[in-house]
Amino acid sequence: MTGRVIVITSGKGGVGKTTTSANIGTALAKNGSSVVLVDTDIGLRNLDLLLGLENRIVYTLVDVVEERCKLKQALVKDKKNPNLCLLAAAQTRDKSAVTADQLKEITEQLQEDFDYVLVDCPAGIEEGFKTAISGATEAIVVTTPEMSAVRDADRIIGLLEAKDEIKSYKLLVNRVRPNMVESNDMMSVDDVVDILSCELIGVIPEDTGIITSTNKGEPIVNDENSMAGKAYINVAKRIMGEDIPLLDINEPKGFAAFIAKIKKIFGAKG
Amino acid sequence: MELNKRYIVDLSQAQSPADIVFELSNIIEKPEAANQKIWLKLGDVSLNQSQLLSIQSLISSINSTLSLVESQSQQTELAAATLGICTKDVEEEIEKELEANTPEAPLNTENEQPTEQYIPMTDHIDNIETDDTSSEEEKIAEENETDLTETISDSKNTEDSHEEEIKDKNIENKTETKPEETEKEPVWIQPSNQNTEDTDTIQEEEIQEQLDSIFDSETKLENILSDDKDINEMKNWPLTKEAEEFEIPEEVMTDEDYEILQMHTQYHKQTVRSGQVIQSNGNVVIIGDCHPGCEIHAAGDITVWGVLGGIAHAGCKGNTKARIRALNLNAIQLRIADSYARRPDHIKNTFVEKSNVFTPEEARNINGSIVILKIND
Repeated sequence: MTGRVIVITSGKGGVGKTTTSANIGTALAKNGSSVVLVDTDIGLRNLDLLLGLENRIVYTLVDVVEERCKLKQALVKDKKNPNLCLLAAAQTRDKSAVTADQLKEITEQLQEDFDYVLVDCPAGIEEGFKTAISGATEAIVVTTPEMSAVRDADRIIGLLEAKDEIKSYKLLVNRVRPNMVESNDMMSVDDVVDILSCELIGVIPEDTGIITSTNKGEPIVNDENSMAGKAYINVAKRIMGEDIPLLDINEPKGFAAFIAKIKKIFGAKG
Repeated sequence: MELNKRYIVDLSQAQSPADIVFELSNIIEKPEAANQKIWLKLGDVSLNQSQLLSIQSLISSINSTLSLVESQSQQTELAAATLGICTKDVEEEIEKELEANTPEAPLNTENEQPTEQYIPMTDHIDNIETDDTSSEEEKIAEENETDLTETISDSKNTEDSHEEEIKDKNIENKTETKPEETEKEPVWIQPSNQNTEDTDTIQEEEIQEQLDSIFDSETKLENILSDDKDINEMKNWPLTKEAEEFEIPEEVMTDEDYEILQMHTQYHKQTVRSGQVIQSNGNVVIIGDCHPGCEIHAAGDITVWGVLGGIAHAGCKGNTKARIRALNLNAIQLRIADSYARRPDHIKNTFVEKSNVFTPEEARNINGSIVILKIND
């Protein structure tokens, strides 16, 4: 078995790389694939927190690289889904602890046992980024409909194109607010795709549930009522090769909006 | 060797401090200058205290002492006075001596003939040979000394005898090393011998500390690795209420407990933040909070006067009697010797873990399980 190695990157910080990694990973695992999430943000790890696995980490990526433990010992299984594993980054070290060749070796080993190897990339285009993309053959570029994030995404796409190993890269537009797009206060998804001229893999609406899910340590795809959760599940299905149309993220209007609000109120309480 | 012979150095022609040092270094190489009281004649050149101190230490490197300085400069005289060096006119002093004693030898010249204090070269060589061996012995003795202070299990009798031997050797060395130093090349500016020794020992301590920390990290990992555990089988640590099911053994002082008591203790008065690591070969006391993401590794006990939120590993060299205490024990993971446990999932990260309500708790390793008990119990 040879799994796919997908790097999730953005250039700019705070656009939702880690959230995307955790949710796509969980969604893929829910669909029955075996998934390993590799956190390469050494020194500023967060992926374990989002998955609620912080208290289970004994060995980290750096321990594997420095041969203090076996690779299998360092893989932390998810609480709910045994298909999902996490290879955490070390908090007490920095990016220079792992080189590109070392990470490539690890992803090659993981490819043999897992269907998907998702690499969560740190922000920036320095050492950490180069290390993270070293083993990957596919990339997901996360951006938000803001000029700064789009510029950084453009830079990242340029760097990804320059790397021969990466066969395909796709765009994920995160934190879209349909209301603001409508009132021309925010770039639309089409604008972003136009600027970057890159294939779109998904659109995730802004959702306050993301904040609570991060604090709880439970990915939002486990919440069936969440729009963002649904959008992430669709992204996961597209990664698996299913042809699914983009989710209609526009909020319903008129009578439908009224019904939706009522539903939401009862849904939240029930 | 008695220092009853004076040796006059006339540097009154020197124009700058550099000239003085240059001339002095030439004179110092002469064997007759060794083991003498040096009387230094300086001209108009003014020297400050540190320059004079370096000259003094230069002279002391050949076992001579700078006992008198004659200078036209007030600054030099002041500096000499503060260093406790006599500042008098050389020729007046000589006259005084001549009046007091019967004349011994012609004075007031640089080319003073060596008297019975002159050490023949053959003696030098003998001394050097013995000194080399003794200095090696000294090194070994020093190593032994440090070893002895570190090992605790050795009986006191042997320690005492060792120490006596070391003392004897040191005394021998002190007596023997003196002539050897006369052969050393003069060092231009050198702090006094005591200072160099101090800095050396400080450096040694620093290196030793660094080595200790490296050693710690290696042993810590060995301890966990040796069991080859599957981390996914790690269990929650039992809470105080649930701890009732564990039979808590009566406290009996064992060798391991005494070992912890004898360890040195490191104090940290700081907030230990995410990503920071504290390692110690002894006990660790932290006055402050330990935030999630930090790691504390100690061979002995860990005591936190505050909220413990990170990973704490007590007894990281295998001492199962080590304990972890905190005013608010909210650690992500607790490890004692080779046992480890995680925080139960139902205890969530509260937004503000700091509170004024503290429940001091203590984590112990009871038969391989980590149990948390209230300290009051």
